[in-house]
Amino acid sequence: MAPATVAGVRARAAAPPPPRIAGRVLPNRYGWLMLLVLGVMLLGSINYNNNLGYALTFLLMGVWAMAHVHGYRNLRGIEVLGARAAPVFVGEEAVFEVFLRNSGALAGRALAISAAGMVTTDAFEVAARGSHTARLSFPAQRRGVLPLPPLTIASAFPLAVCTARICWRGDVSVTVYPHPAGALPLPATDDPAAAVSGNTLSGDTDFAGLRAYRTGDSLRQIAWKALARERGLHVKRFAGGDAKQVELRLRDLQFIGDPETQLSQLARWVMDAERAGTSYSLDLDRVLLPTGIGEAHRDLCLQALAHYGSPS
Amino acid sequence: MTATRRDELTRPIVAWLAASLLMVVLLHARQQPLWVCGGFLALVLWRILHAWRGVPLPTRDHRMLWLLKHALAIGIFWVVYRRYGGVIGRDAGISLLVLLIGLKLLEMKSRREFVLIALLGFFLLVTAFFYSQSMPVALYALACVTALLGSLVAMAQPGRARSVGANLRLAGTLMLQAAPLMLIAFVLFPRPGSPLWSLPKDARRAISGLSEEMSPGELTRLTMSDAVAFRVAFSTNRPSAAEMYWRGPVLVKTDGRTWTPGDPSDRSAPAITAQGVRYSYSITLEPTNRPWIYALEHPSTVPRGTRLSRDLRVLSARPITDRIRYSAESYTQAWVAEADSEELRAALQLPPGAYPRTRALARQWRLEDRTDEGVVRRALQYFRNEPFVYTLSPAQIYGDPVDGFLFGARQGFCEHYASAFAVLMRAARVPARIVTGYQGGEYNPVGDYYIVRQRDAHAWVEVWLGHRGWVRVDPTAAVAPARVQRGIDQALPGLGATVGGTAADLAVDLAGWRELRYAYDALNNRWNHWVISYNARRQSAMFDDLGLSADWRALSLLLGAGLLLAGALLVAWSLRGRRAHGDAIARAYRRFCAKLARRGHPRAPYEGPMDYARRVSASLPAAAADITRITGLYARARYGQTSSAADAQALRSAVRRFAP
Repeated sequence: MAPATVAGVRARAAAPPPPRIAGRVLPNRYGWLMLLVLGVMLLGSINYNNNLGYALTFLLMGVWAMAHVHGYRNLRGIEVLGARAAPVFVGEEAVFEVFLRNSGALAGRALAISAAGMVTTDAFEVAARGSHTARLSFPAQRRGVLPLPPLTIASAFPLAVCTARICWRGDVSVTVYPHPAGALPLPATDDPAAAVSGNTLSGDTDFAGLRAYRTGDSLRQIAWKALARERGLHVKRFAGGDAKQVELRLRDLQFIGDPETQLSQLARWVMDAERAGTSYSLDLDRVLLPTGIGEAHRDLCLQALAHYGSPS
Repeated sequence: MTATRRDELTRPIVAWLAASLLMVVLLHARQQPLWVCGGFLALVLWRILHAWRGVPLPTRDHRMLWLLKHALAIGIFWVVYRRYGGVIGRDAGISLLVLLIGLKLLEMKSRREFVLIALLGFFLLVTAFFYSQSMPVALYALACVTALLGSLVAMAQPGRARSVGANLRLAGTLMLQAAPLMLIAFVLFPRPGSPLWSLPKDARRAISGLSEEMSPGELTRLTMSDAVAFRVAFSTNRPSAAEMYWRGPVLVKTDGRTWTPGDPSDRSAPAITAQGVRYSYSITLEPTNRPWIYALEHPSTVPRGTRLSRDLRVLSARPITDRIRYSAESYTQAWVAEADSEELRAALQLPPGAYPRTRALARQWRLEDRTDEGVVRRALQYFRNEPFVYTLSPAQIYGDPVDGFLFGARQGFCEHYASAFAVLMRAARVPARIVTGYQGGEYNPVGDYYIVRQRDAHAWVEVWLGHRGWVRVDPTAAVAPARVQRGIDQALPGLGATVGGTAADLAVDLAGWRELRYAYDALNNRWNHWVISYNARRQSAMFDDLGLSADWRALSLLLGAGLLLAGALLVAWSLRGRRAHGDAIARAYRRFCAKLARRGHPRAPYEGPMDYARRVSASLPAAAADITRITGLYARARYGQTSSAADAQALRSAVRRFAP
């Protein structure tokens, strides 16, 4: 039987099939092996003029062919809705979550996702009209952008003699931050008073009132009690806290190592400053991020570090 | 999601494969020596014990076991070689295959090896058909295929183990869907007329049946066999059982003990003088490996491709190695009034010096009676009046076989009577020859045909009576008339007890049981005719009937077209069926809309479910609550974050109850 093509796995009237998806069912090496054995069986049946031999051989050939139809049906309703991954640091594992939906009325059985022939998930099943989130992890080895390689969703169901495949090439990537490393302490703060006190923790103790939450504020400073009293989202302010700020400048680090080491040190500082509650600005010569604090600000800074030097 | 590695074989699927293979090997147990099947069982047990008890396998880690395995492999080859004198023949090859599959099972680790072994299992299964193609074997083989396919299905789904039943069902579904393709290929695949290469020597197993030789005890051995020799269907009228003499080899020469055919003659068959009814019938002959076929005495029309010999046997050009079906016509009341002096001289030959007492008796008859008929009558009277016993287990005869029988034991089977009678005739200068074949037959009312079994084997005599020609005389009939009139089962009531296999239907003479047996035999006959005997000839005959030429090119074309068409239909059906069946939710909602449409509120094409619900609720305030609820259920089942089968079920039942 000719390999069935699953191009446009599901044609819907309203929405066009998701782009960049194509599939096919082809005999795998077990399938070719089975054909070989069936060929030998056919020769034997011909030679002995054995009708039950013919019947068995033809039956198995039919089963072989029908296995392809079943393989096609097995992947028929499977759609990749998308994928996402949280940013990671170099040296960590980037975990892509791939969202699958089965719009068919048959469970998609014994599926496995592989990427670039290297990473393969364990077998899973997507129930009929159900969904599944598969996780694929890749080692993040280089700073910058780690794109999700083209994915192959494959299944050898039901007889192991053929493999049905769907290829999916999503425009998904994960940002890989530089590995935070480096032994240099945070640069001195600009505020002389704070510099004298030298103790960033003291700022936390002198409560100076609440102000409305602004995007980017640190979670640590949210006034949870106020929130619990249903007075809205506020941030605690501390005397002297605002005054404490550091400027993280790439050019200050020109004397240490190669650019990657410098970026790693900057990443280290960003993390340190964030932990210390010190506002910080980041100056990468061509990119300048104003002073701020909080997870959003931290992520902006880390992203700037990740993309530093890349053309876009 | 599961933690099973893709390449790992779990215990259940290993056990499953092992069990399936055991099933296949069991099919070979009848032909293969015990040590082959026993050895296989031992290897399977080893593997199972490894999976469950951790008994070590012969890997390199266990040096001794590893050596043992290689020694086993070499030993298997050696033993098979010693037993069969080679490893090429059919039986030897299968012995090897069985044991090597067992060894392979021991080292099976990966999915690749699993698939290979399962495929070898299919191959082993097909070799079983070289021995038997009976219906029970076919059914059993079907079970084996289901089991083997089921093991592949189980293996193809690593991770969450599905139930054995579910996997078997899927295997069964695959087989059912493959059935149309199989049928088309079976009917249309061009069958070659002859083997592609010569078959191994042991391909044709020795088949019990009549040979061209008769010595005391020969036919007695055949009567132990319940096997079918052939089946006969008469087209219109049929003769009585006593008239059914199925003619086989004609024996002329004797060395005093063994009878053999006369010198072959290339003269044409003699004319027969016929009287009475002509019977036309068709015979389905089981393979005999012998170059003659059987026909009712005396054949007048023989099938194409055969010829009638001088002594009225139907000879075929080649040994009958496959079951064949042919038609012939015969007269039961006929005689041959043509013989030349050489034939008659041969029919008087007696070994010099043998059976002195018999000769003396015959000479005495000859002196007392001038006519040949008188001598024949006297001989028959002699058998009738003296205390002769018709028995399957005659007393041991010492010395001269004929003298010893006639004047000593006086117990014998048809071959004893036939040979003694022929010797008596020859000694009295009446030309005589022995005819072997079958006599009688069991009528099968279900299929309307006669079953002639090996135990119906019989021997009788033809004597030359000058003015009448060759006349059949059956001396057994003089001793045991029942043998000829009612068949061997009636003549020898104890037969069932000694023969075995027939004990059931003789001892327990239940009408129902007999009926069942006949029905089964009729079914077998159909099976043989339609499935097993389908061959190149039948194929071309079928296409001739349809007005098509059946050369292999036309057949291949038809085959290709048929398979394509059937394949396309199968694919379309399996995909379309799924879609129609698929969306229970949409179907339930359509039904809901249809119910409202019957109340005069059809859903407009542009209307979404919510708008529609609002509009109809306003028009049908009584049903508004239901409408809102069903639309809500539909929305949740269709678009909800956590849609489940329960939602779909709730929607379906709500729509069913809904009556606006």
